[in-house]
Amino acid sequence: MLNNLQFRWAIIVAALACSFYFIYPSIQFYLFQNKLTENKIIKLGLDLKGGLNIILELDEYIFMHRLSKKRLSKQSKLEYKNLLDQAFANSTKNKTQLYEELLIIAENEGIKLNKYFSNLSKSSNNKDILEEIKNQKTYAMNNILDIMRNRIGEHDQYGLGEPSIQQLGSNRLVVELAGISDVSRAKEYIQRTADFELALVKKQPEFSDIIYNINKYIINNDVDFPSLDSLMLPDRSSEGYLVEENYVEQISKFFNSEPVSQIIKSNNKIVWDNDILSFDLNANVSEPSKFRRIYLVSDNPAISSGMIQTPKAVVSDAGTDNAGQWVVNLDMSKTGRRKWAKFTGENINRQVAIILDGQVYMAPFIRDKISTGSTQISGFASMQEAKDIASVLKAGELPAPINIVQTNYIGPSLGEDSIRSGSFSMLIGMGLILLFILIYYKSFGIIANIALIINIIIVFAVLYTMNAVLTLPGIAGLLLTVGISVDSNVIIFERIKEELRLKNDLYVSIKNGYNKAFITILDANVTTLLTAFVLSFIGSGPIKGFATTLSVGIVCSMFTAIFLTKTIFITLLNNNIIKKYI
Amino acid sequence: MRHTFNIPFVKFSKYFLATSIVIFCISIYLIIFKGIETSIDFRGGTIINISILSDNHDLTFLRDTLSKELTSGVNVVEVESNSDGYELILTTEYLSNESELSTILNNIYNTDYKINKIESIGPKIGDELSKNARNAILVSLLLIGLYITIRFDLSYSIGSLAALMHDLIITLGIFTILNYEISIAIIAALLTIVGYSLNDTIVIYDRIRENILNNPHREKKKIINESLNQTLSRTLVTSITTLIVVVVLFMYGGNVLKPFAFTLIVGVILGTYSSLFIASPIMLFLDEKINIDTEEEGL
Repeated sequence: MLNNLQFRWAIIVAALACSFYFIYPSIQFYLFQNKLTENKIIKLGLDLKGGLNIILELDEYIFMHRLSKKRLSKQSKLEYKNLLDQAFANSTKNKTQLYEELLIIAENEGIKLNKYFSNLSKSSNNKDILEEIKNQKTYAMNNILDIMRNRIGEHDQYGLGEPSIQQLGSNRLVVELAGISDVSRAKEYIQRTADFELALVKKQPEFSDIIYNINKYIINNDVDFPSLDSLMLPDRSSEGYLVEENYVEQISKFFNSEPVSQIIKSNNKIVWDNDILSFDLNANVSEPSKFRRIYLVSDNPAISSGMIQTPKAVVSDAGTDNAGQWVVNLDMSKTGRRKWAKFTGENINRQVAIILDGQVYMAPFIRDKISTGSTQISGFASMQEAKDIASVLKAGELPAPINIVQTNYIGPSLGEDSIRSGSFSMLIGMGLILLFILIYYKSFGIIANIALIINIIIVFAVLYTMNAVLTLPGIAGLLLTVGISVDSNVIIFERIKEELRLKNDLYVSIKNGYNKAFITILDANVTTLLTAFVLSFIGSGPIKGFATTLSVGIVCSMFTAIFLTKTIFITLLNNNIIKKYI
Repeated sequence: MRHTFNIPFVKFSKYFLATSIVIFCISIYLIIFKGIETSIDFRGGTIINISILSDNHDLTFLRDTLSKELTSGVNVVEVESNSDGYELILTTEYLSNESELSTILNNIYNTDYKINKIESIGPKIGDELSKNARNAILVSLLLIGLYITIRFDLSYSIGSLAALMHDLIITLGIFTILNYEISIAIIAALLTIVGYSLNDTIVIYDRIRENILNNPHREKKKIINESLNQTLSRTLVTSITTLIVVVVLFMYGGNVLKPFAFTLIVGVILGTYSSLFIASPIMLFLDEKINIDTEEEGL
C-alpha cells in the first residue's frame, strides 16, 4: 500500500495543476480586474450580473389559425374556428397540447381535418395531418429561434453582453439579455411579430355601411351595447373614424366577438392607429379629449413582410414632410416593386395603411404611381422606437406571435449587492468552519482544512469545465458543500479516534478508520446526490445552479476528504512527523 | 483523547416520540386548516421591487392609481426606508408587460425611481412548476426509500422515511405559523433537508448494521443505543458545521437567500433530532414486530 504513494501524489499534483490552470483566468478577472482573461472565466448568472430573462411561448391558437388553408369557404372557416375554440378551451382546462385536443374532438365527432389542411398533407387520415402539424410547429420554432437570434444580434444594445436565446420544450424559448435598464422596451422589442403590411384603406361610405349593419344587429337582437353612432365619429382628414380613447378597448372587444366580426368580414379587417390624437372639443373642460383613429382596411395586403428589404432608421431630410423626425426607410424586392407600382397606379387618391403588428403607423394618400419601391414610415414616438422597428423588420417576420409567460429582471445594483453578500458569506462561512475544525481536531484539523480548501479549488475548476454559471443559490450550494464535505473527514477522524481507544497503534488505527468509514461516507453522500439530482430537473436558472454546485461539491469532496487526506496521513507517518502529536 | 458518550437514547425515546407525534399532528392540523401560502412561483403573478428616490411618500395614492389603471388589485409594501428614499414591493396578478406600470410610475415619480427586480410568472408556468415540485419531492422520497431498502432493510427504510416526513411536516407547520410563502427556492431547501437528514440517519444505521454483524446475539436495543452513542460526536460535529454555514447564509446572504437559509436552519436542527430520536426507535419497533410475526408463523 505504501509503494503506490508516489502514484497518489502524482494524481493529486496533476488534479491541482489542472484546477489552477482552469481557474487562473477567473482569479485574474474577478480579483485583479484583468479584463484580458474575460473569455475563460466562470460566468456569473443573471441574478448576480443583472439583466433580463424572459420565457416566450408560441401562440398556438393563432399559429393553428394561420396554418389552415387560406382559401376556405365562409362556412368552413366558421366551422374551423369553432373547432379550434373548443380544442383551445379543452387544452386550457386539461393542460394538454392544443393539437392533441383537436385530434380527440375530430375523432369523436367524425370530422375530417383534411378539409382544413389539404395544403399540408394529401392524406385523409387525421393522424397523418396531426403529424404534419407537429412538423410545421417544429419548423416554425426553429424559424422563430433564427429570427430572434438575428433580431437581438442586430440590435445596437441587446446584441452586446452575450445574449442567449434557447429553445425550451416544444413551444417555448428563453431569451437572456445582460445589462438592460429599460425592461418594457426590451420586452416589446422581443415580442414583436414584425408583421408588416401595406393595405388599402376602405372608403368611408363602405365603413359607414358596415357600421349601419352592426347598429341594425344591435337593435334587432337587443344587444347590450350602445349604438356605434354615439361612439364613432367620421374623421374629416382620413377615410377612418374617430373613437374616444376610453372606449377603444370596449369597441375592439365588441368587433372581435361573434357575430359582429362576421358582419365586418368579407375581405375586410379593422385596425387602430398607434397614435392618440388630442382635440380641444369643449373649451370648458381643462383636459383635451383623446381620440384614436380606426380604419377599415383590405384583408389582402398589397405588400407584406417578405417583400421588403434594407429597412433603416434615419432622420428625415429637410424639405420633406417629416423633416427632422425619425423615420424608417425601406426598399422592396423585385416582386414587391412590381406589385407596388401596379397597386399605386390603380389606387390614386386612395389611402393606404402602413400596418406593423396590427397597428397603423401612418396612412398616407397615394398621389402618384410609385415605381421605385422605396417607402418611408413615420409616426414613431422616439428615436429608439424607429431603430427598434427597423431592426425587427430587418430580422424578419415571425411565423406566429409569441407571448411572454415569465419574466425575471434583476437591476444592476441588486446584482452587485448579491455578489457582495454572496462572497462575504462565503468568506465568513469558510473561515468559521476552518476555525472550528482546527479547534476541535487540532493537528488532524489542519489536514481536514487543507482538504477543504483544495476541494473548493477543484469544485470551481469543474464548474468552469462544465460551463456552469455561478448564481447566488449556487454560492449557497457551495457553502453547504463546505459544511457537508467536512462530514467525510469527521466520520473518518471519529473512526480513527475509536480505533485508537481500542489500543491499536496509529498506523493500524488510520488504516482501519479509512476502511470502515468509506462505505458510510458513500451511503451518506448518495442520498444527498439523489436529491440534488432530482432538483436539477425541476429547477430552472438559479435553482439549477444550486443543484449543480451541490452535486459537484459532494463528488469532489469524496476525492479530497478520502483520497487526499489519506495520502497526507501516510506520508506523514512514513516520515515520522505525526507521532509526536499523539 | 476525548471521552465517550453513554446516553440512554432508546430508554427516553418514547417521550421524545410522543412529543414529536403531538407536534407532528399540530403541524398537519395547521397545514390543512390554516393552509400554506404559495408564492407567485406556483400561483402566477408579478412582483416588482422598486427604489424611490424622492420625498413623495404617498403610498395610498400609488396603490389606488395602480389598482385603477391596471384593473387588478395591487399590493404595495414598504420594505426599507433611509435618507435617500425608500424601497417598495408591488405585488399584482400576472402582467405580461410592465409598460403600463412604468408609465404610471413615470407620471408619479418622474425619473426618481429605479426598478431593482421584476419577477413575473404566468399562470400556466405556475401550474407546471407546482406539478414539477410535487413530482420532485415524491420521486426523491421514492428513490431514497428504494435505496435504503436495497442497502439496508425495509424496517430501516420505513424508519428513515418516518424521520423525513417528521422533518418536512414540522418545517411546513412552522411555515404556516410564520406565514412564510412556499417558493421554488423553499422546495429546493426542503429537498436539501431530505438529503441532509438522511445523511445523518444513514451514518447511524451503518453503525447499527456493523455492530449487529459483529455481535449477532446481543440485544438489539442495546446495540442501537451503543451505536447512537458511538456516532454521537460525529452527528454533533457535522450538525454544528452545517449549522454554521446556514446561519452565516441567513445573516449575510442578503434578502434573496433569507427564506432559503431559514428553512435550512430549521431542517438541520430537526434532521439531527429526528435521526437520534425518531429514525432508530421506529426502526427498532418495526424490527421487533417483524421478528415476533415471523416467530409466530414459525410455530
